[in-house]
Amino acid sequence: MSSVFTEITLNHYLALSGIIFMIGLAGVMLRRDLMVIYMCLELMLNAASLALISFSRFNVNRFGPDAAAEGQLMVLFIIAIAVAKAAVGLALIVALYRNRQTRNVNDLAEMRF
Amino acid sequence: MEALVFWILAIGLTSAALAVVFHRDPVAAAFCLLGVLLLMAGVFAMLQAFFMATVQILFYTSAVMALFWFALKQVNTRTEKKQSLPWVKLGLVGIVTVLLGGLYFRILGKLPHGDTMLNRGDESTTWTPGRLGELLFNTYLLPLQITVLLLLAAVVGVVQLGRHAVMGNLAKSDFNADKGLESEQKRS
Repeated sequence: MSSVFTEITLNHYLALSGIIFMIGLAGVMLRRDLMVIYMCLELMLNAASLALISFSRFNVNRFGPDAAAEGQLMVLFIIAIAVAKAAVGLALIVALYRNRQTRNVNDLAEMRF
Repeated sequence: MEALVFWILAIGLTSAALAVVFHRDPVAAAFCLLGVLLLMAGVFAMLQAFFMATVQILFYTSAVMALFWFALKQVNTRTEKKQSLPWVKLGLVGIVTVLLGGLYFRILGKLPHGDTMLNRGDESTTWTPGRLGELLFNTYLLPLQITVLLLLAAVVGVVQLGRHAVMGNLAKSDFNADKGLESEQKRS
């Protein structure tokens, strides 16, 4: 088997992260349902977390245990902010739904210029 | 062995992410998102970030999925009306995504140390929670405090939004009651 499949390198993890980010981006552009758009945003945040963690692993692997691996801390912050974002955003969606009875972004386009 | 686990996780992650985007039912999409989050925790564990994998499962998955579940219960979860696929839009989105992805992969190809194998070397280089906490509460104390403030603002904002939603509903029902009263008066 060729070494691309048997040797997992930094590039593999970064490529996986990029693919998931692209899927999330396509979902945000494609879907019209607010809830699904929110889920796609979560996908993109997770892809960023994966890139950060793989870079931190790369740093430790390359420069030894005392190397800077703050990527993991950044992921901690990402998780905290993602939870805050989900709480506020979902509250907004629920409030919007109670007033307008719709989750479709095409029906919520009054502010479009 | 590592390669096998990586490919299984990668294929699972990609197909679950695609299912989130392309599934018509938001509830099923939420379950696929749950799968993505759990598989991502697996990838974190492969990268020796065990603490992050635990945090991902304990906090991210539980908190976000509980929120999503609650919100899906609040709004109407009926499937979207079946309509023909927006082919033009699908094509445009595909072109943009492929262009951006191609750019990204080109940059990856030029990365200087991109072919480093990550899990070769001794395993004692894992970052323990203790070391992470030391860093978090010394060097990164200010960002931590800012995040705490943000969380507080989020809590206050959510409470306020919830109150307004309930009050808006009450006002609407009052309005309807008044209208009903008026029509009754007219009828009499």
